Amino acid sequence: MIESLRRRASRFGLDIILVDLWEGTGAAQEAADYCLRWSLEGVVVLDETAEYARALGIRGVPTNVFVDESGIVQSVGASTFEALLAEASRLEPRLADDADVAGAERKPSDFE
Amino acid sequence: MKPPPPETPTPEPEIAEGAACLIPGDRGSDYRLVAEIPVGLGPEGAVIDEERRRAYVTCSRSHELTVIDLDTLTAIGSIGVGREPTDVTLDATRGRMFVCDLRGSTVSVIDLTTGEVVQTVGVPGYPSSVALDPARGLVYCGCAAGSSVAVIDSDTLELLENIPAGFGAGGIILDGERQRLYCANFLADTVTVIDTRERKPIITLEVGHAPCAMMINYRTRSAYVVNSASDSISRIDLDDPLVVEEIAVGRGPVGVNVSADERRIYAGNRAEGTVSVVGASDHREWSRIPVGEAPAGFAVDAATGYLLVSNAGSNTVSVVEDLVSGPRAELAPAVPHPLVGKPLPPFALPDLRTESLRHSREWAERKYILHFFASW
Repeated sequence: MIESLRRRASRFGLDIILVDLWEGTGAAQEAADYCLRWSLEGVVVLDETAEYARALGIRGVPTNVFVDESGIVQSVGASTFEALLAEASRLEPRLADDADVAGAERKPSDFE
Repeated sequence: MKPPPPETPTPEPEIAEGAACLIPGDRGSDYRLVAEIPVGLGPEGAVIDEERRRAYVTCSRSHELTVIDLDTLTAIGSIGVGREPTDVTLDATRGRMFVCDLRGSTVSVIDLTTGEVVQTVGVPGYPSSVALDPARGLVYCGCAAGSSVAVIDSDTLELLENIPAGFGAGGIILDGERQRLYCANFLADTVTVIDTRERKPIITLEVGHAPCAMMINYRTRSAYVVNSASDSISRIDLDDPLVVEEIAVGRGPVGVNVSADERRIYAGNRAEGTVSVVGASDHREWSRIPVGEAPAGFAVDAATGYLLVSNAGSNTVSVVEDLVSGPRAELAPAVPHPLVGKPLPPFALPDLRTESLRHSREWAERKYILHFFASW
């Protein structure tokens, strides 16, 4: 889901940065395995101690923080694909008209 | 025996998160945080042994079960199991526990008396949920990669067969009265209903997105499945196994349970750190109780009524007393997250692929989304 949206959004100059946290142990390897499994190709950063997430008041995953071009947070939350798309489209209205955005991929490669 | 007086003071109500957020109101009186117990890494599922007054919590990232004394509400030990345990069920008659090890593709069998693993049973890949069928002496295990439910003889500990289910088969629950097993298929957005006499699927039900855990409430003659990517619970009629309604809850529900008196259904909302309290009489959400970070599964202590919530993010178990008095006339409007309208605090975090630090200033004057996730 997130990868299909990231690819579409990038065409309109909207970036999606993945922030991995709460892995417990071996964060980099766990995150790398996860990205491989779900074919995630965008920027992934590690918040291994969750210090940054806690500073933002993030209390669960997945959680999305939407930031405009002035660096102002527009919304926080949106865990369903529909909510994520709605909030992303508020940030970048051209996304709302992109029919292909709804084509979510939910099959991890190692299950196929 | 009653637990000791609370050692942890009731926290101040926290500010809600996101567009879909906590229900404001008298939340401070809706619950009491009895204790916050440190456990192993990545706690997911939990089960209670009423007779021994013990709770066992599967800690997926430290590959163990944390043992909690329910009278003192402290962790008193751990039991090492297979790789990434996610769920556990208890067979009081045989004095055993069965733990599914997600990435070990095994079920670890533990002797309750000795607290040691006595056998490991190989099952299809990604077993994520287990359920006991005491009448038949069987243990069922939902196996995601196998798209099946493994059937294990709880006496001989042999794998008997694999019943086909759906893509991403995971959360399972048994309706012993009607001899049916329900299996949530995470990647297919369906629930497979299985006849346990024939060991065959009889119907597939469409539910919400990414269904996870399941629970049964005989009082309402319903099965419940939490839809983690729809922020909802699908309710299934046990008599005529069809989905009868979808109940809105908090963000990212992955755990579900029922109160000891069966008058309430609880959903653990992984994406917002809360537990939704749903009335069994009206199937509406009455309130949300804040717990730890990224809550998952949980158990209910029938002796006290307390909820033991596994918090995969904070590596704790929240012990909570539900004090919600009943349904509210109407829900108050959502409260925006305190960050909204403010500058994003700067970050400098290592890039997974290059290991170099990535700074928020790289995205200056650009629109972007920070997507916080964990691999579990």
